[in-house]
Amino acid sequence: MKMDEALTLNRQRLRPERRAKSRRERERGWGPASIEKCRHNRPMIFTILVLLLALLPSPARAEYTRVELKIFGMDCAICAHGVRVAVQKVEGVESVELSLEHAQADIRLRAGNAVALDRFRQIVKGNGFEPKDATVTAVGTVRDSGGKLSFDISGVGTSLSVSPDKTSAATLKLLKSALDAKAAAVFEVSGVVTLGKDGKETIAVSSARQR
Amino acid sequence: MLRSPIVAACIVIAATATTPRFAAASGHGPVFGGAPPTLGKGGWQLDQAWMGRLGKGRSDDEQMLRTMLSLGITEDLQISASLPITLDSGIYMPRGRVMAMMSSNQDFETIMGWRFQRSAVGAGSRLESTLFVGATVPMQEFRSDGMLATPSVHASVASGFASRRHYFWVGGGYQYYTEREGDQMGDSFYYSAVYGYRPPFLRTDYPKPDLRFFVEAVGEHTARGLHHGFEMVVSGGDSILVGPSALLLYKQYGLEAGLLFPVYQQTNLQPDEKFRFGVNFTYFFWRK
Repeated sequence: MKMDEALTLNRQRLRPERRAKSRRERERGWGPASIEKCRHNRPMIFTILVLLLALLPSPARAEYTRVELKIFGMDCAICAHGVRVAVQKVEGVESVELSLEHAQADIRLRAGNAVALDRFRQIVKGNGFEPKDATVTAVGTVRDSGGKLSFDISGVGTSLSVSPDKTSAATLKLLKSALDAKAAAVFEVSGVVTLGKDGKETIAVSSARQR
Repeated sequence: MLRSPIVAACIVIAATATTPRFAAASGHGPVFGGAPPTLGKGGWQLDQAWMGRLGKGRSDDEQMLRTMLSLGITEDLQISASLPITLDSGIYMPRGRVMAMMSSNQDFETIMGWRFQRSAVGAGSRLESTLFVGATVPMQEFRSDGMLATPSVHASVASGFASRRHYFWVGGGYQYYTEREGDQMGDSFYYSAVYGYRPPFLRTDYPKPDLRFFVEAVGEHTARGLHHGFEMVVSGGDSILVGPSALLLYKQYGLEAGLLFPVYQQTNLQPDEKFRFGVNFTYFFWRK
């Protein structure tokens, strides 16, 4: 067979109207006609896909992804179990591990959650214990307002003041350099969140990665 | 002065029964002594206790099952209610309590605990103090010895230190029985001290089982009671008991057991006590 003849035959095979229906296709009503119908519905399918994608959480959504909360006063297994059960019931919590030896709850959160750190503090208090500092990993926006850096986690309505004293110079430089040309930049940040006596939260950033 | 030998016999029998006999704690504290821990907010606790006392004679033996339900209203406020099932009351029906969460009488009991002081002094340790007030209502017209059953009120305080290694709690309380037609049980004053220890090899992390051991000391003083308005000479007394207990916690389950042996008894001619025991199973559950 010549090359031209072979190509023509292949094109014919690829054209749906030339294809013979298989038994399965016949049973399901598939075939050239149904494929044509799909072509007409393309705009609608595209719209549905776009809507579905819009519903999916953005990877840069501002939220906590992990919280390691120090808890003082827990001495026994039933203390830890009570806290674990209560935290596990919070919507958006993926997993929680309690450690009496390390006196902390290690909480992993699902993407798209809207859980604030204070929710976990309230749960710990409700069980009769004292929440302390929390080591967190979160995605949020770093802003510079009058020389003071803040880390806003808009998904949970939280704004943390970046502690310049407890954040390393290199990390501060990284955050500020990202803000040189703009008012805000999205970062994934890890650090220790402390609740002050005035009710304000500060974060000592240990690592930051621009998103 | 006494109308008949039968009345006299009743008085003697009633008198022998007016010393507090036994009681058991619940939850995650010691078995017999008082302790300040309360439930968390929205926490529930179901206790099933089996407690008893063995006397010098077979007829002195007493055994009881008691079921208690507790609810944590806030992290510092808890209410409890308990019902008894008497297994073996003999002649000497148990009457009092030994400063814990469960009465040893055939009474319905409610207790409210308010943890008025709490401070975390370290990662796994805390100091706390709790005030308990309660009331009992008899579930029978007469005690098994023929004495009229009457309601009572009581109040106690427990305070102490809890940590991953050591526990130390002290407490004391007072129980007052009302008078009815000249019958009244003697007031009780009770006190306790508990030391607990969790050895290093048992200091395993959650969710592994959590076992610890206690040495409990319980003391009680009971005033003389009244029968038909007469003070009963053979009633009241003092005793101090000491013994070991252990508490095992795993997830939402708790199991504790203990024994107390008398080291001092002044029973005003009433039968001596050989030992008392308590076994308690606890199921914890939480609701939103």
